[in-house]
Amino acid sequence: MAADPKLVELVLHEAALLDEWRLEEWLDLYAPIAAYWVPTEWGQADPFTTISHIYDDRRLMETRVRRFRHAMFHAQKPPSRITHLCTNFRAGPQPGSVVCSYEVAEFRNAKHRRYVGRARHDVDANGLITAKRFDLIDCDSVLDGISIIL
Amino acid sequence: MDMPLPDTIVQEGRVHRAAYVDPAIFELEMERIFGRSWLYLCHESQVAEPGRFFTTQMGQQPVIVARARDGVLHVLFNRCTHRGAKLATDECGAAKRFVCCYHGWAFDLDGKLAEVPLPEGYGAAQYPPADGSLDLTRVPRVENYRGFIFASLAPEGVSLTEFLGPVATSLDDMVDRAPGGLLEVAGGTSRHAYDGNWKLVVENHNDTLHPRFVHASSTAAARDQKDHVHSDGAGEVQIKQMRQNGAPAHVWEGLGIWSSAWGHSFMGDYHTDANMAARPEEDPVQKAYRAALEDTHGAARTEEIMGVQRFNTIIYPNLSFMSRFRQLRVVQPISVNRTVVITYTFRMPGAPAQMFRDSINFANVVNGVGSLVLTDDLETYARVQHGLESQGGDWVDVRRGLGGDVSEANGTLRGQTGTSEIHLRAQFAAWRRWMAA
Repeated sequence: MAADPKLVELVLHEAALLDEWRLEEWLDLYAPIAAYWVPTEWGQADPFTTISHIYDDRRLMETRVRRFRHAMFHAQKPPSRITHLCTNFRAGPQPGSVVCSYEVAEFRNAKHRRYVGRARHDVDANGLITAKRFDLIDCDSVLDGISIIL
Repeated sequence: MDMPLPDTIVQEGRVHRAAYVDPAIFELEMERIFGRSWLYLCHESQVAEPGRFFTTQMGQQPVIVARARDGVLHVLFNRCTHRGAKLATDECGAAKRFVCCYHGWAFDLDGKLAEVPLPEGYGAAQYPPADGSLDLTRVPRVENYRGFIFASLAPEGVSLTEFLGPVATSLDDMVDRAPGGLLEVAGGTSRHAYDGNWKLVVENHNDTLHPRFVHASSTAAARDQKDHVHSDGAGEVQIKQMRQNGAPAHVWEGLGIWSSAWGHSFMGDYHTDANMAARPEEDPVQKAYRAALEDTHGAARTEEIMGVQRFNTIIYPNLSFMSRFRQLRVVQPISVNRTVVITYTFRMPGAPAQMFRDSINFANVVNGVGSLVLTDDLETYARVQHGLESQGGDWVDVRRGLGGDVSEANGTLRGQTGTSEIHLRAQFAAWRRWMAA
C-alpha cells in the first residue's frame, strides 16, 4: 500500500534535521513517550530481553542529544558529515506507520561508513513520532562504534 | 636486539611500543600467549544438551565446542580433515554430525570421522581409517570451572586451578549471586571492533582513572538530564550508570584494585545499593531476589555473598566480566591493530524477571555499539594505537602506584590506591613470562 505522503514528508524532514545537526529540533519531532531503536537481531522481538545497538527511551534520547554539545565527545572529534537516503516508502503494518529503505552515509576521520537497512516510523495523531526502528542488514555482524544519530 | 625480546620490551614501569604495533610481535603473541594460555571459550549453558555446539576462536584459531551424545564436551578445530573446509558456520546450534559441505565427510560430535562417501574410491585403504588419523584435531586441554569453559591449545602447562588462582573468586561471585547457582547466557550477542591492539581493551576495563576523561561527555549529559522525562526503564538504568562514571576522585581512589599471577586483576565496585535502587530493602524486586538467594544459601551466607563488592574482572588474556552485573566480554585479536570484542549477558533463572531486563538495559550502555559510553572508549583505543605507531616516543609509562603494591592473604597484590596501574604491570609480567620462550 502506498505510504501516507504526510508521513513520508515527516521522515524526510527528520533526515534533513539529522544531516544538518539540528538535534534539538529532531527531538521535537518525537512524542513525550517515544523510542529510538537499532536492534542487534533481524526481526528482534523486543528491546528489553535482547541487547540492542541502540535503544533509547525519551529520557535517553535527550541525554544522547545533550552529549553532542559537550566538548569532550571524543568519538565526534572531528565531527561526522552524514547524509540520509530514504526510499521505497510504503505504508507500515499499522495506521500511522511508514516503512522505507534507509541508509545513512557517514564520513569521519578519513573514513566512509554506510548503515543500510529498513526503517519504520510510528506516528501519533498529533503528528509526533512515537517509535523509530532501524533494522540494519548487518545488525548481527561485528560493528565499529556508532557515534551519530541514525 | 641484544637482550632477549621480552626483556627488551617489558621493563620496570615501562613497556616498549613495539608490543602494540609490531606485527612480528603480534604473531609471536598468538603462538606463545594465545597458543598456550587457558582461554575462556563459553558458558556451559551455551552447550547445555547433547547435540548442541558453539563456535568461537581461540586467538585466531576457529574451534567448535560440542556436547556429544554421552554428554561429554569436546573442543575441536573447525576444519575438515579432507581438504580443509570450515565445518560449522553457525555461531551455535544443534547437530547430529558435522558434515562437510565440500565432499560430505561426516564427523561425530566427538570429532571422530564417522563416514566418508564412496569409500571404495580409496581402493584397498580403509576409509575412515581405524586409527583415527583423520578425526578432527582436538584442542588438547579443556576444563570447566563452575560452568565457565576454558581450553588451552597446549598439551601441557599450568593447570586451570593454578592459572585462575584467587581470581576464581570473581567467577564464584557471579555464580553465588545466582539463586540455585543457576546462570544462563541469554539476551543475544553484540560484537564490536576497534582499530587497535587487543591489549588496549584488556588494559582499559580495569582502568579506574579513565572515566572522568574518556566518559566526560556522557557523564555530564546524564547528570544534566531531567528525571521526570518518561523512561520505560532503559534510560533510567543507563543514565544511572553514566552518572556513576562521574563519581568523585576519592571514590575511585578508595575502591581497590587487585592483581594476581598470570596477569589477572579485579577492581572494587563503585556502585552501592543506595545508588542502584533508592531503598533496596523496600524494592520488591530486590526483596524477592534476596529471598530466593536465602533459599539457596541461608541468611548468613547470603549476607556474605551480597557483601562482595566487585565490578570488573580480567582473566588474562581474553576474558573480561562484571560478576555483579552479569556482563561478559571475550577479546579476539584480529591483527596487530584490529580487535573484536564479543559481549554476552547472563540471566538468572531463579531471580525475578525484572533483573534480567535491567541487565539488558545495562548491557546496552556498557556493550552496545551505539552506547553513549562505549563509543568514546573505542575512539580512545584508536587514538592510542595511532600515537604508538608514531616515532614520538618509544615507551608507554605504567608507573602509577609502582612500589606501593601490598600483598594480601588470598594471594593477590592490592594497588596502593584504586587508580594504581597495578593491573597493567601484572599483565605485562604475565606477558613477559609467556613470551620468554
